[in-house]
Amino acid sequence: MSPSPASWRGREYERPLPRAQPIRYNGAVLMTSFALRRLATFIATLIATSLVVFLVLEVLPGDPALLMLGIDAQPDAVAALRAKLGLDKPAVERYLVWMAGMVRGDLGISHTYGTSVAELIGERLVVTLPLALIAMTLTTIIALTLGVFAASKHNTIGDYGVMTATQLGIAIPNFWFAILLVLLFAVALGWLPAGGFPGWDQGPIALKSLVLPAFALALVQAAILARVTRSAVLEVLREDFVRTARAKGLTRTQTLWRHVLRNSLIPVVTIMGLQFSNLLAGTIIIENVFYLPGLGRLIFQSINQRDLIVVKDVVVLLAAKVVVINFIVDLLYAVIDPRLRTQR
Amino acid sequence: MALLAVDRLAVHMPSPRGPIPLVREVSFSIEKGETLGIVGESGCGKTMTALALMGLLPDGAVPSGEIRFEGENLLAQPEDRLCKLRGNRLAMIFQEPMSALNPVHPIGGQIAESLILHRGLYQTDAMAEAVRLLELVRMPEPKARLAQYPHQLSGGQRQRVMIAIALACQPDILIADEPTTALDVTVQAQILDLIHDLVDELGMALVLISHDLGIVGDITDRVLVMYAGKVVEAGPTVPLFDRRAHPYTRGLFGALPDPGRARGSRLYAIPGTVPDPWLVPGGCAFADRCPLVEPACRDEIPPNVEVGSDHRALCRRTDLTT
Repeated sequence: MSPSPASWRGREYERPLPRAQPIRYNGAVLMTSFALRRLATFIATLIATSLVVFLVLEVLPGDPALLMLGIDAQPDAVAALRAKLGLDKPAVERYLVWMAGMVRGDLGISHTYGTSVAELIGERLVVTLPLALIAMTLTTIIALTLGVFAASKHNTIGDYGVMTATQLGIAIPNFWFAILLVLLFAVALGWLPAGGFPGWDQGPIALKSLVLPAFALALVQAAILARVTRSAVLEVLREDFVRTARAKGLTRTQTLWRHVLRNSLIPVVTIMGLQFSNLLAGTIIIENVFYLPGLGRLIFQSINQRDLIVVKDVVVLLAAKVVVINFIVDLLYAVIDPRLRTQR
Repeated sequence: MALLAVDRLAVHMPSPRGPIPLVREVSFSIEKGETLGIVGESGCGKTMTALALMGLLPDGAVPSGEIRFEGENLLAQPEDRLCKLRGNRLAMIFQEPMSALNPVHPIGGQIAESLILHRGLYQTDAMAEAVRLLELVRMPEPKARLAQYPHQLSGGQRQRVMIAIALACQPDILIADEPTTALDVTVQAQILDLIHDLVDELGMALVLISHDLGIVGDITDRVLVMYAGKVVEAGPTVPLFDRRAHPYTRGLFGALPDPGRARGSRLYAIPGTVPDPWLVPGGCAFADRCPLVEPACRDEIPPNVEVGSDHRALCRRTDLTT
């Protein structure tokens, strides 16, 4: 006899939707409670991160004052600097002072640069944020194109080609790929600068100097995301509504872009969120390869120089960024899949 | 010239053990306004036959023979020509309304899509036409439905939307593959009445695939009984249902629950199951399950016997089933 209808009906609900939180639009009360819950998570995350960072830096060996003055420094000079930096005060007091400043928007003064940390972060962010956005855009374009292409050519030479290329992309370390890019496009062809950043007042030249670093950052991410896209698209291609779309007279390509892609975006957006959150790990390396005065380089230098206040502030900032990105990803889930808007 | 003439249609699926026959030598024809039922157990090739008509066989499946639509052999047409016919001249309704609609698009757009594609309508005109189609399939509050998503509709309503999509461009042939199997019994009757009325109203030809003999008997002019990929009996519905020349057809009728039968008595079932497509016996495919089997059935392909006017059965012992 025919397969029981009940078993077919269940299929639609078996599709796993990775950690997609339903967002309730039906009622302002529910929406407000959702926003409040998110705000509470945000604050809790920041407090937890600040505590962990503070404690880790407490137990880290290396006295900032000694490091700044050199190991030959006079003990009384070191002690004076420690007092100036507030390092002679108890840890609890220093944590509370830091937090109080944070609430007022005062991130403190960098020991090494002598300027306010907020200002320091601000001027680094104008390099790193565009870099990250360009890298993410490249990642998305490359990954979706390759992923959809591979899925549509499933088990053919095109699919194998993409799978091999992405395997290589995942295996190649991005700093090495960055060096290859420099050798080709900067040294051999002379099209793009090998490193450095002239400042945004230089306009297009500034943008040009971000192209190679963005590509270097995008490579690994695009390789991973292309594979995620491919398997998500392949899964959706098995759904019944794909056949309905074809029965309407849509071509394979039209079906793919109009009906399949959006249905396969939930896992893709999940991974994109994680990748965007993790982009900084990439920028620490890539900004060093390309001598870009960005946030990644700032955190690298600050750790080296025991500029602890900068390290602490930047880490908390990054934690905030992760929470914000997760929030955006959750909103995107509801945009992509209407079923997640009204789920009870 | 028949609207649709299928001649010795076969569908094979390649496998390491050689091609597996899923549909074998199926021939039939439909005139304009005619309704054809295809019945048989699951796995007998009904759906594959329907998908072959639409040119939507699963990847890898190879059709052969001829499917002539207004004289044009569809199996010889390139994909872009088929895309122009699908949804426009030939349309199909699927078994499973729960999953046959795209969950992330409002239904208005899903109905309007083929109108924009085949009729070249603008978005607003296509939407207005979508409202008319929803009225046609007797959907309550059609205008308000346009912005709704499939998950906000009941199973019966979704199937109505599927029918609206299929009818959007007023096709010449509507293929309905078990359109009511997944629905509640009460809704089944409504949807069937709707399909029946619309076919009459619009003068379409209908190919109705079902394992439910009651449904097929109610609304079709002709019936094909399929078994293991072959048509084992074909004829006009009323004489075929009366005569039941093939033992398999008899078995299908025997398997219908009879409201008058004694309470607690066992339902009749045809013994055994449909053979796997790669294990179909050499002679008559039904031989292993047939109560009338004789040695020759297993060795020789059964003759196609004319048992009545335009009524044929693939069996050597039709003399026993009068």
